[in-house]
Amino acid sequence: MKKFLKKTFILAFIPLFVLLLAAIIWDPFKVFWNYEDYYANTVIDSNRELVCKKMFLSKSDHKNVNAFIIGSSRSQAFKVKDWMGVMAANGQANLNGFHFDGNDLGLYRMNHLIRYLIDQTNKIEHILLVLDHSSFKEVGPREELLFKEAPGISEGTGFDFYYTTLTSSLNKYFLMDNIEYGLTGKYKESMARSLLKLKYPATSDVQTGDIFYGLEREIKEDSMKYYNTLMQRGVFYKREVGKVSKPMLEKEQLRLLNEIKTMITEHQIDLRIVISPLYDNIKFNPQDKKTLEILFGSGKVFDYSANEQFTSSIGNYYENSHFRPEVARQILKLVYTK
Amino acid sequence: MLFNSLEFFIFFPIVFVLYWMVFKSSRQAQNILILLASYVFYGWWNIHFLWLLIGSTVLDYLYGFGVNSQNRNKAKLFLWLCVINNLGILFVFKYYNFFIDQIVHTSELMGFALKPSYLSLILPIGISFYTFHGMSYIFDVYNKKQEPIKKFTDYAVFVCYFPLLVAGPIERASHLLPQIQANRTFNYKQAVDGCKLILWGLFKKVVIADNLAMVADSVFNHHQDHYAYALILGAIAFSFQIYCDFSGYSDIAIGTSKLLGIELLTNFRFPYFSRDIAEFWRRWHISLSTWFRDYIYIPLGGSKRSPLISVRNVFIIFLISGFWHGASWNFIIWGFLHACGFLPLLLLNKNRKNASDTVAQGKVWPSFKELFQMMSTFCFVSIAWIFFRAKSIDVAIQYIVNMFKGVFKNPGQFLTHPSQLSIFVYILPLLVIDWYLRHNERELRTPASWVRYPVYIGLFVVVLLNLGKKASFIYFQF
Repeated sequence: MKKFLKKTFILAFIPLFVLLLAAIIWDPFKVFWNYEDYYANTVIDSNRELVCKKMFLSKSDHKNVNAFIIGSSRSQAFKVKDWMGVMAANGQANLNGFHFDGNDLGLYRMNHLIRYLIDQTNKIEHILLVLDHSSFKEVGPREELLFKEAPGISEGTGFDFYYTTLTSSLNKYFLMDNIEYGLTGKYKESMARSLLKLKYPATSDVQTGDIFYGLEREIKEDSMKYYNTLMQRGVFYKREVGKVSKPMLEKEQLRLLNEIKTMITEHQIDLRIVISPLYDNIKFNPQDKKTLEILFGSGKVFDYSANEQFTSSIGNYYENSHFRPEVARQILKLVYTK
Repeated sequence: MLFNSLEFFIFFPIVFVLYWMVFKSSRQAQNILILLASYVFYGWWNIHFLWLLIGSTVLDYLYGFGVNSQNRNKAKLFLWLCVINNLGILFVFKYYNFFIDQIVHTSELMGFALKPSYLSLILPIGISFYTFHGMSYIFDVYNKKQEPIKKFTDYAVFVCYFPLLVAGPIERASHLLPQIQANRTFNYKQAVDGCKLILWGLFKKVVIADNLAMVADSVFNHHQDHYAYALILGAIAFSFQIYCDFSGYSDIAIGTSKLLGIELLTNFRFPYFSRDIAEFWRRWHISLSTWFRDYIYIPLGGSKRSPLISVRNVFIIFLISGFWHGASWNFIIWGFLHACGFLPLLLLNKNRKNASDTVAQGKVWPSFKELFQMMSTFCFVSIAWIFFRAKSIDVAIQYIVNMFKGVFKNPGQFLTHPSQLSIFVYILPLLVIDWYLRHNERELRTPASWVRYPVYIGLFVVVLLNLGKKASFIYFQF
C-alpha cells in the first residue's frame, strides 16, 4: 500500500504540482501576483474586475476614495480625470475618484461591487453607473474566467475563480497559441481564441483605474485607414431606425436594483445612471427607464441610447461596441451640469 | 459527478483512503462506505433522483425474496411485478412522451386531433443501467442461478456501486455479488492496473473523444453547409468519438473498481477491428449485448428454432437495443440497420465465424482480406451511427444522401481541404495503440520503466491540459 501511494504521488502529484506551479509563476491572466502595469507587453485579456480591485487596493489612500465610475468595458470611455474636472467646475474639488469596471459587467456583479466598495471605503459620495440594455441580462454568477466575480467581491471563497484561472492557463489551445506567438511574434487569426490583436497595447493609470486603449493612437496615426478597414470588414453594420430594446426588468433584476437602491440610500450616495449611446442605436426600453427613475429618482437617469448626437458618426466609436472618450466627456457635462 | 471533474479527483482519493486505511478490517464497513459514496456520487448530480434510486433498490431487493418462492405461480407474480415496476419507471421517465407523440401523430393521420398532456421530467442519469442491474438479479434468482441476498447493503452496493452506476458496465449478480460478499485485500498489481486503465480511459475521453466531438458537432449541427468530404470526416469523427467516450468511461469505471479490489466485466474489445457485424456486437458494449442475449434472445428461442423465429428474434433484440438507447425513431432505425447487417450472417450460419480469435491472430499486420473486412464493417457501423447522432431521421437520410452524392459529383474536393484531416491526429495514435493491445484490452503493456514512466507522466500531463471543460459522457443520457 505504501509503495502504491508513493508511486502514485510521484507519478501524479509531482507533475500536477509542477504544472500548477508553472501556471502560477507564469500568471498569464495577472491573477496571482501584483504588477506595476497590468497592460504592459501583454496580448492576453485579463479579468478586469480583479485588475481594478488590485489597482484599487494598491492605492495607499483607497479608504478615502469617494467617487466611483462603475460599468462594463463600455464605461472605459469615461475617464476619472474628466469626471473630476466636471465635478470641480461644479464646486466639488475634494473628490477622490476611481474607475472600477469589469468585463461585460452586469447587474449581478454591479450589486456585489457596490457593496464591496462601500465596505472598503470610509464614505462614498458619488457613483456614476454606466449601463446599457445588455447590463440587465446578468442576474447570476458567470462561468468564464473573464466574467467571473473577483475573489473578495464575490460571496464565495474564490476557490472556483483560482481553479478556473489555472485550468484556463493550462488549456492546450491557450498554451499552443502563446507558444507559437512567443516563438514567431506573429499574430494569426486563429489565435483570436486566446490572444488580443493589438497594434499598440493599452495603458492604465493605477491611481484612477482608467484604461487607455492603444486604438486611440492607431486612429490618430491614420483614421481613414482605421475606419475603412473596419467598414470593409462589416464591423459598422447598417442599423435599424426606431428599434427599442425589449423590457429587461423582471423580478430578479428588480430585486438587485432594489438592493442597490437600499445601499445608496443608507449611505447617502449620489448615484447617477447613464444609459450609453451604443452603436446599435437601439432605444432603451421606456418602461425600463421609467422603472429606474421611480427607483433612483427622475433626475438621476440619463438616457443617451439612440441619441443621434452621439450615435450618428462612426468616428465616435472604436468599433461597434465601445464609444470613445470624447463622447463620454460630452455626456459628463450634460449629466453634471446644474 | 463526472469522472473527468475536479469533484471526482477529490472525492475518490478520500473514498480510497477511508476504504483501505480506516475500514480495511471490516468488509461490512467497506460496503457501507461504498454505498454512501455511491449515493454522494449520484446525488451530486441531482439529489431528488436519489430517492428514485433508493426506492428502486429497495423494491428489487424485496422482489428477490418473492421470486425465490417455491410456489412458482407466486414467484412468477413477483417476477412480473418486478418487470412492471422497473419498466414502468423507465416508461414514465424515458418513453412516456415518445408514446404520447406516436398517439398524437396516429390520431392526426386518422383525422382527429388528440391533445394529451406531456410530462416535463428530467431523465434521471443512469436509469437504464440501474434498472437493468436490478432486473438481471431478479431474473437470476427466478431462474435459480442466484440465491436472494439477505443483507440489504450487499444488494444495494450491487445496484448502486458508483463506478458503474450511471453508464455501466451492466454487471451480473453472479459476477459482482460474490466479490461484494467476500473480504478484500489491497492488491498492488490490481491497483496499478486500475490506475493505468483510469489514465488510458481519461486520455480516450478528454483528449480524443472531446476533441473529435468538436469536429463531429460542427459537421452534424450544420450538415447542410458541408460538402461530402466534410460529412464523411464528420461521420468518422463521431464513430471514434462515441467509441472513445464510452469505452473511456468503461475503462475509468473498471480501473476505479480495481482500486477498490473489485473486478468489473469487460465492456469493449476493440470493436473497430471487427471483421463482421456479429463480431462487432461481441466487442461493443458487451455487458448490454450479453444482457439482451441472456435475458431476451435465448428465452425467445435464440437461433435454435426455425429460421423464421431466428429472424424474428434478431429483429426483436436489435430493435429493443436501439430503443434502450433512447425514445426516438433514430435509435430504432439504428438497431434495425444492425439487425439487417447481422441477419445474413445468421442465415448463412457465419455469425460465429470470428468468435474465437482476434484479427491478425499471431501476426503483426492483417491480411488484405481482413483489412477489407474490417474497413467494410467500420463503414457500415459508421453509417448506422449517423442515425444515432442526427437530430431526426430526415436529417440522417439527408446527411447520407449528400455524403454519397457529393463524393461522386466532385471527387476532387478530397484534395482541397487537407487541414480537415487533422482528426486523424487523434484517431491514428489510438488505432496504433489499440492494435498493439488488441489481444487484451485490460493489459496496458509498456516496456521498461525508463520508457513506461515518462509515458505515464506524458499521458497524465496531456490529460490535465485537456481537462478545462467538463464535457459529459454520451452514455449518461441513456
